[in-house]
Amino acid sequence: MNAVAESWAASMPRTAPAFASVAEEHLDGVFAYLLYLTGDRSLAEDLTGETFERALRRWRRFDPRRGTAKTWLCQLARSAALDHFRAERRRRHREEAAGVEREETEPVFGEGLSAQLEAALRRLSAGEREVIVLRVLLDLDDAAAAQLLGISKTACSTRLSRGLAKLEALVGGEIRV
Amino acid sequence: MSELVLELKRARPAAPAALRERVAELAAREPEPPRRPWWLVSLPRLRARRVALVLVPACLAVAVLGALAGGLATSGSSDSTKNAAAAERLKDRVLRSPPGTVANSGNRPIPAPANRNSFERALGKSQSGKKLSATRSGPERAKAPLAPNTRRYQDYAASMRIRLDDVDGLSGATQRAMRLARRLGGYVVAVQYGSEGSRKGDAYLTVRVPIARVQTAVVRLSGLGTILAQNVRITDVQPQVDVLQRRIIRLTSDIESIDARLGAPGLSDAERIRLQFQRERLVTSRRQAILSRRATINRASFATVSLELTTQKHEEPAAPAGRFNRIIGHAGGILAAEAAWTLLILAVALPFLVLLALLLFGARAARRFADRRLLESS
Repeated sequence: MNAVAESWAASMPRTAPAFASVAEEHLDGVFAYLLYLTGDRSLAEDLTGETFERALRRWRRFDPRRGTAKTWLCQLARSAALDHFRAERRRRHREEAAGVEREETEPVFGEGLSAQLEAALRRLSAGEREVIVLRVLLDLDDAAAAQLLGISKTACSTRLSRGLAKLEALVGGEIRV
Repeated sequence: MSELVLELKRARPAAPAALRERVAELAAREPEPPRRPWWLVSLPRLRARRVALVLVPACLAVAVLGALAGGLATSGSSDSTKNAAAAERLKDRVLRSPPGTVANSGNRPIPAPANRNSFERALGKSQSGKKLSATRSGPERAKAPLAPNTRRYQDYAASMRIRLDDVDGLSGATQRAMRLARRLGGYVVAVQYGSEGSRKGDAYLTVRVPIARVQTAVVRLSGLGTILAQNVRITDVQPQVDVLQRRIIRLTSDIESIDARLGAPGLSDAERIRLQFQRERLVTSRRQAILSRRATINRASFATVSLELTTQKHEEPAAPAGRFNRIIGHAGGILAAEAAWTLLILAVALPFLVLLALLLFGARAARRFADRRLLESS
């Protein structure tokens, strides 16, 4: 390797971190995001695996200057989840047309959550849970979360406030489980 | 609210061990980072905006340099430009001249093309139906105009533009011109005089002088002031006179023939009346031909001299631009053409680009809206 190539390699960590370290660092975050988004633990696991497969395939296209690895992975996870939701909606349409009963799943949003909070989270929509997990659990800032959701920062903040207020209202006794 | 958030943070779900192993296996298959070609290694990676920031000024610079190069290539040297301009003027004058016309302009004679008659040939042996003219422009000394051929009937017309210093000189020159025409045996056809203040004024005269004295008239009129332009046109009308003469002779012969037949004995009344009508027609035609011939000869016996006297100064033609100015001028023209083409392309492409952008923007907005609805309903 010549001097120029060495200098190029030295600059690599800044521009392209190793995929393994990125996966290790953000696995929990991506899983939590997908769990909150889907409300289904096994589905979240499947989608997390699919997300990292996609990430591996597209790793060469990742540009750290355009956003953090966490944001990029969450975008891939969101895309995978949306694909799943679309497929699920089509499946539900077919099953409803055929008179098939919908299969209920028991979501688990995390160890140590109170039953009330668990139930309250279950009552939120996927969109409301999404902004909560991004801003509260994954600690994404306004700009990154807004970019991921495809909305403005103001809209992102508003959506978070409404989601938390609704969650608080649901936990505060108005909820009927 | 903060307690709620803290509880959510504390209970952040962690990926199960099986998933962790699966992802670790995936990560083990990590592909080699892409290597840039050696010639790109030292170059920074450019994003679209940076590329645009470089490309737009680069395109502008190329356009300007191309225009300058084009201007440099097409400006040529000063001599070649003068020659080209002179050739262009000569070509233009020759093309504008009617057939059989030889034009002369400026202070020095411009040789006529090879397929045209020279002035001398035209003057000495002007061919039938040929029109000859000579034009001079710019201040010059009085020169003898083209001489008419006194052995042939010719329609001679001269026009001159003469500058006087002031209105007083203009008035005196007008009167002298009128007196001169009369003294030479001619007459004033029309005169128009106008002045504004003591510095500006114009006079237009049309005089007729005997053809034999037209040269004298032109020379003396030229002495009234500074000649700005002079034009002489000679049209040979001898063929017309000859044709009319032959027609008169033929008609006279026909009339004599009819007279002979009318004098013959044994002519029926009907035939006599028919011959008399025919004779009347021939006599009328001969009378018209005689009048026409006389008018042509009268016209050819006097020359028409149109005189424009003015106090306005002659405007010298602008000096040819220097090479630098020509380069700049040509480059400006090329740049203007480039800008026009760019605008044209933009004008044609812009509606399609806007439509495409609207479609893309709409499709993106629709997709986001659908995603949001999907998440809200899930």
